[in-house]
Amino acid sequence: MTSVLEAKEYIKSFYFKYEIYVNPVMKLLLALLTFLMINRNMGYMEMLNSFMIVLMAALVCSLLPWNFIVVAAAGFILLHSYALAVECALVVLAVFALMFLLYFRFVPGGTLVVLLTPLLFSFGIPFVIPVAVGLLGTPVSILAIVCGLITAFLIGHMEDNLALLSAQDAESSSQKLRIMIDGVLENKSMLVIMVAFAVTVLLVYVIRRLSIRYAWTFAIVGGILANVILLLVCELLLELNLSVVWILVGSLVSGLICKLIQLMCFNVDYERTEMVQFEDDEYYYYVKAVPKNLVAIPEKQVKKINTQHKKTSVKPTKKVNTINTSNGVSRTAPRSSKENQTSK
Amino acid sequence: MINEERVRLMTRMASYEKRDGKKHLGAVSYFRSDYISLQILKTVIATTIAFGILFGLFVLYDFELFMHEIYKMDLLQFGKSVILLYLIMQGVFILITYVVYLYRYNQALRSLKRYHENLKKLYRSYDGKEEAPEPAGGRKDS
Repeated sequence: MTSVLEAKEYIKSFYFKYEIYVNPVMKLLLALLTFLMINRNMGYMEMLNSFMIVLMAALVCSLLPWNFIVVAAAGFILLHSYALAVECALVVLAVFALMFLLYFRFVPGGTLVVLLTPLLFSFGIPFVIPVAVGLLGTPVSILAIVCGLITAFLIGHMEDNLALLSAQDAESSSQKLRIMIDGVLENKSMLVIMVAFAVTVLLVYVIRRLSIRYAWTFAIVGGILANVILLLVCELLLELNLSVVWILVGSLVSGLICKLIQLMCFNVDYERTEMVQFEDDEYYYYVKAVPKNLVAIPEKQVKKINTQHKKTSVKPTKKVNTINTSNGVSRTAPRSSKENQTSK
Repeated sequence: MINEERVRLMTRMASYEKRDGKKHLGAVSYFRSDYISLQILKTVIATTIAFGILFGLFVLYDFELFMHEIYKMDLLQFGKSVILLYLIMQGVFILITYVVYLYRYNQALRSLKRYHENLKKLYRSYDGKEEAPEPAGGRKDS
């Protein structure tokens, strides 16, 4: 525990010291991961698969605000969809436009959740998102998760229906549109995961705000359990073809990651809880104060055990030439080796 | 000698100016009703475009069937139901906009008030040699 707290303090002090460099590096890494994930799952446009292009786009993103990564990622998805079929690009564009017009206009700050949802989906641990959002955010972020899930499932849907969507005959144009729209509207798995995630966010948010001991731990455990139960029940009732192993293992890993988030963001010592009361003219106050666990960073001191042997040596003095300039100011210049030799 | 209290105040104010200050100043430079009306106008435009996209997708979903049925259907009734849906969507989003931006305006007003209190404290710490300026913005409707 102490080592985790020390690590937290190290990270904090490192971040405050090098914030100006850390932020662009983090943006670069996130953009790089996002673009590589998109290329791995889609990759229909050969040109975009080049690592140099990905790196250049990520570098540009690292210098611009966080929101630009979302715009660039949307551009990547759109171009890949266009390479697959114009109809796909049309539907993807419509979905992104709807997200922007109806959601991001109100909550411009939720872009990180939108980015991380498909990213963690591709890593197999999407269950981190609802619990982390419930712990650190507000229920409004459910809409950001929904947007992220739609994007993730849209990418997956294109991959699943690759043969139909890449058919060249003109007659299949309306069929392609229908397949794409069905991918958004009639995807039962997506709807079930959306509901499960929304319930998890609400549950975690409510529990972690309770004035009880170990509220965050209960919130994490409750959230993960609720998520697993909801998904398993829906799987049994609706036959969604969700992998049970994926749900269980993914939830376990997600729980561990959320515990780490708790250690980093909310680390209190419930044993030292104080209950105080006081009053002013209008109210009586019954206050519960829970102290934070704080650890000072240990300062490393180097002790010299071996005694240093002093060597008596003559320091070579550097000889310099004095040059008189026209304005009377004397300037000094080191002697050339040739001059040194002649002077000897 | 560094006045720690003054440095603390100035740091807090500079941090606010850098983060939310500009946004809040932009909001409270309007009257409350003007600010909310402007946001509602933006929402009406955004929702109209969004409805257009949704309607377009609805038509394109089964374009052949739609073109086949368009001659048979009661166009007046169809138009009425489309307009009704459009109005419901507009109503919902206008309501959301009103609630969200009213809350944001009030929050901006509160934050700016706190900022001006800090500003006054800062002027007072200079022995009251200079008068603190009047707070800008945060005007109430007449």
